[in-house]
Amino acid sequence: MLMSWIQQKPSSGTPEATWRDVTTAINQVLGKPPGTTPSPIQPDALLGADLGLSSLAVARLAGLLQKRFNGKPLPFHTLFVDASGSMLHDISVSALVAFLNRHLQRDKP
Amino acid sequence: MSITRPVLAARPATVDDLEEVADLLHRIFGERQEVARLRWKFGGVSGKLAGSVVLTNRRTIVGFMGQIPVRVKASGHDFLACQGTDVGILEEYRRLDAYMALLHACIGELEAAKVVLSYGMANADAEFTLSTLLGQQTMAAIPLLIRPFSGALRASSGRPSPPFAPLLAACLRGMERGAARKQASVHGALRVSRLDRFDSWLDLFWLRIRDDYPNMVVRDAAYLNWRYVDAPGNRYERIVISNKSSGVIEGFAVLSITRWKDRVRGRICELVTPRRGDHNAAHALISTSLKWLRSQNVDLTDVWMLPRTHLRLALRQHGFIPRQAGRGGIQTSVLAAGSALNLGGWDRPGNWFLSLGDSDTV
Repeated sequence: MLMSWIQQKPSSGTPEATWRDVTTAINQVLGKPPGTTPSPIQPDALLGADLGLSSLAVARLAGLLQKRFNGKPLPFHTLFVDASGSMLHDISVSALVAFLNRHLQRDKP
Repeated sequence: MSITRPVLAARPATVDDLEEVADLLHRIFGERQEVARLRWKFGGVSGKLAGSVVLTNRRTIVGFMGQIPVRVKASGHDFLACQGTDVGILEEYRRLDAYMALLHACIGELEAAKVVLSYGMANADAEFTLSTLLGQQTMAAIPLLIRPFSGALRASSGRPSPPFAPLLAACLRGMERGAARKQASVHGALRVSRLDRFDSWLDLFWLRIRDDYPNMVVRDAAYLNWRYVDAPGNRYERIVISNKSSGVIEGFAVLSITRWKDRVRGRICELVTPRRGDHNAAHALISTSLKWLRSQNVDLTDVWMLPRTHLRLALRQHGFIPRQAGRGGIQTSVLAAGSALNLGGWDRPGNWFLSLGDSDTV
């Protein structure tokens, strides 16, 4: 089930489609396979504090999303540093979606 | 119903925290380390904690990230470095924000202590997490070499010995006879002896070998005594080889044994001879080490050894073989950010001579 979702063609690259991909991936790492009723996820939900993802789960989420988007290396670590260079302790789902949209747009021909 | 999130904060660990840290690590890993041992480990040679941090929920310690301070020689100078170990968070607090808070505090402490390098033996999960969250680059794996003894070939726990056991045992015996002949000729000029404490002769030896590899843990007498003589709870066998006429040290080895289920495993924690010196010293040290390990009824012994070195070649000639299965022996090197230090070729494991043995289990 997981592999079939990864192998599906990535969604069209719109923010809505990226949102769907990210929430599907979050549910995967939370142990909810595609096809089951997903947990409602709010855009401002924090991956750690609100959704309860561990550091390893976030690393797995990054791996899943990378595979989902054709295995292209994405600099996920830049997500955890703010504009002043300080390390962030947590990030929101919307920040992750914005990060993906930014990088996917940048790589469009 | 409202859910109140625990308020987690990370701060530098103090010596007074170590009793609570010992309880915490016991709860997480199921193995108790004595407070004296934690004090020894995280204090390093200077006895001062550097970089170790705790995660607290109000005033209770719920997470820990340990750093063992060591000195590393790089670019011709000695610097303070830290080896990360004993990282754990209680399961109910194991969340991204908790881990990042711990990591953030740790990096701040390392920078405040002017630590230029942090490294560790990371398992695959930790390596994956660090590279994803921090973008840390890791060194290639350093190969683990193993050396079975005849004990490993016996039937164990009701299982028959493997069909190739007699052939392998014969090969190992043949290698040992060859090595013994070689050693007999070497012994004319060299003396092998057991060592109670490392002394100033070892300081001289360190000056001789300090440029053998671009980046090395400083193996002077102070470090070696702290690490292998004064370590609470660990027993090490220390062997030194010296020139009979001049007394000059030509190399040393440190060995340990661990028991696991019905097996006894040996480990070569240190094996050091000059890279460009008389390689007979390496053969004599390995032969003596194997003899001692055999006397302890060891089934198998292992050592992490860099590729393309004279020591690896010598170990192979004494029956050590690369471990084929699993990802054991991974050594990850994580560089502290913002350092101007030139660690040339740091991503090539051949440029490092850190710990060779039980650094992940101290």
